[in-house]
Amino acid sequence: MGTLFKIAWRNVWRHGKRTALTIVTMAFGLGLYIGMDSMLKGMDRGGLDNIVNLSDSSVRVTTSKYEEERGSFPLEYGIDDPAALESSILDDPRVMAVGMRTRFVGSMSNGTDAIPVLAVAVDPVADAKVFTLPEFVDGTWFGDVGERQIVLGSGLAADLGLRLGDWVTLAARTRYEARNADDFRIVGLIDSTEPAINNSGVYVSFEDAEGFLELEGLRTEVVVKMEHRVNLKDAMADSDALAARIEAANPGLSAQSFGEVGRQFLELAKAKSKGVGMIIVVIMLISGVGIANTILMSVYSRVREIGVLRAFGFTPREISRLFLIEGGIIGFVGSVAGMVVGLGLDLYMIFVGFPLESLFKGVDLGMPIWGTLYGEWNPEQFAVIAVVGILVSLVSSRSPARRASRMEVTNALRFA
Amino acid sequence: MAAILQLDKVTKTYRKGENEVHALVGVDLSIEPGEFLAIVGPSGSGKTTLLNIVGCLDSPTSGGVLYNGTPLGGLKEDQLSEYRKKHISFIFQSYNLIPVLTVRENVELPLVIERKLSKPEVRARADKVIAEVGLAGLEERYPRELSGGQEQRVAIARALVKDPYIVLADEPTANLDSRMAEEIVDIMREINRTRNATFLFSTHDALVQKHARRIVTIRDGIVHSDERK
Repeated sequence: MGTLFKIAWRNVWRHGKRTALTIVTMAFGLGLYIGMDSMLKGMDRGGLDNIVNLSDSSVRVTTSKYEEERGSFPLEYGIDDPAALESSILDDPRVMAVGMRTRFVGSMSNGTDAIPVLAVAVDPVADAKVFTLPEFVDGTWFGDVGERQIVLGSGLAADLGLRLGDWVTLAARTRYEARNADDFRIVGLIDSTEPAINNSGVYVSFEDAEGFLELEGLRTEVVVKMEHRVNLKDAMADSDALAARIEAANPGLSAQSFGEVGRQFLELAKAKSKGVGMIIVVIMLISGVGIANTILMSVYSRVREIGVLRAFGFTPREISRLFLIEGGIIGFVGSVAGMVVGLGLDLYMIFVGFPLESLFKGVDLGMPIWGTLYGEWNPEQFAVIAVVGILVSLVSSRSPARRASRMEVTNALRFA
Repeated sequence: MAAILQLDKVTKTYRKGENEVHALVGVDLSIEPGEFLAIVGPSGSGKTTLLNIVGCLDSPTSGGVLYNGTPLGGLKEDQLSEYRKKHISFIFQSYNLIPVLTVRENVELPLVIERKLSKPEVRARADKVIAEVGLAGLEERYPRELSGGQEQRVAIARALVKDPYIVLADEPTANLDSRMAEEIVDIMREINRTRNATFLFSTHDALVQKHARRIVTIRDGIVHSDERK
């Protein structure tokens, strides 16, 4: 095996340009695949981050009964002692912040038209520690003005022809089913990466909601922000563990882990990954043809050498193995080079990111463009690349290797 | 003395398009150990075909070859490889060294393929033969760094390193000038004498024929004459 490898290794580099071209093609394709995979996973992550950072948090705790009737956002199932729950959740070292919310259904009017809305009462300071909504606000995330304030999604405001500083009428049923309506001044407009919030988000402070909805301290949701994890699976596992711990310690409460939502989201993203799968098939097909061609050229440039090796006692199997090893070497080096290129792209995407906003500003792509798209670290993809790269190279080399092993020795020795 | 090789009515017919080419026609030949035998004849007379059949690189259409009394006909591909590996060595007209291997690695190759000796033994044996053919000091050079004569010496060293019973040489001096050809023939004769290896070589070269102890002349695939000196 040592001699076979030595001959194969040196022959691979004997026609350096040919080999380098195959390796570069392979490395570029595989590297690009890793980069694309990172970007697409980053987009998935971006979507999930939207859920975590803008709407649902890492773990969302409600009473079990509230969760059962969640579709109607009832104001009758509040958490018994939200402060005690908050303090117990904060004991977990991976928890960064805890906030509270109360959702309610109402309708909003600009004086002419009225539309139904799902509003959220928040503690502006605590909520800003759990969610990143204030980063997307034009105006202010609640100020100290002394009048009833409201923050709206920019799309919703546009639908009602409302601007920053305008007054809007919000109507809703109180905790005790009494109808109530009041005017609120628009202090902020949200233009976030989450279209649902832009199109229907309505936020008021607990300070204003207390009297408006007769809350008397009622909090229907406790929301939790956990420390950021580079790997999505780790982030989901953290959320799952915390949710399980909360439910175990608090019978009657229901803790919705971001992992649960994440898994449903990723299920939907699977269709997208099929497209990526097709890309790797195409890349591997191109690489395979390149390797097969390189090995075939190697066979035909060494016909006499094959004859000599056979004359000195090499069996057909050993001749075949010689060329399979050559293909394997090209596949291995190509895969490693592809991993290096992919690692570079991956690290760039993770730490620098793809500046969506500056590149596509003013271009209507039919999707919300904001900020920077970051890649997602996915080490499994590197292992897949290595295995698939080497397997493809071996399969591609099989046919030329077989052809070499079947050559008539006398014809090979006569070959000019 | 018992023959090391016995050719019994060996016939080889090729198809070339619609025509049949009779490369060998009923060749009978008995070769004893230690012979230094030249096969001569015009181009296309069947010299190379005869060597290929003896070396089991080709099989006769009819007739048979006995090696030490054992028939070689009917051996499977792997058995033929084994036979070549253990008993036969080749020297080619255009040297056919492996270009990616050094002089030493080329010479070591048959021993490495045979897998009988340890690494140090292989190295020692190769260096000894390289010195015998006058190439000591060039062990680390690659074939492209050698002259034609030096390449053929490496080919001879490669053929001899495993102490073969039979060395088959197809026009070994055809690509060399007369001075170099004489040197190569001298080396072959010396090795034939000291190691008692049987040499069969095809040649056009009068100089080589002069040194041969037996000359078999072939014409149109038929043994025309068989002279011993």
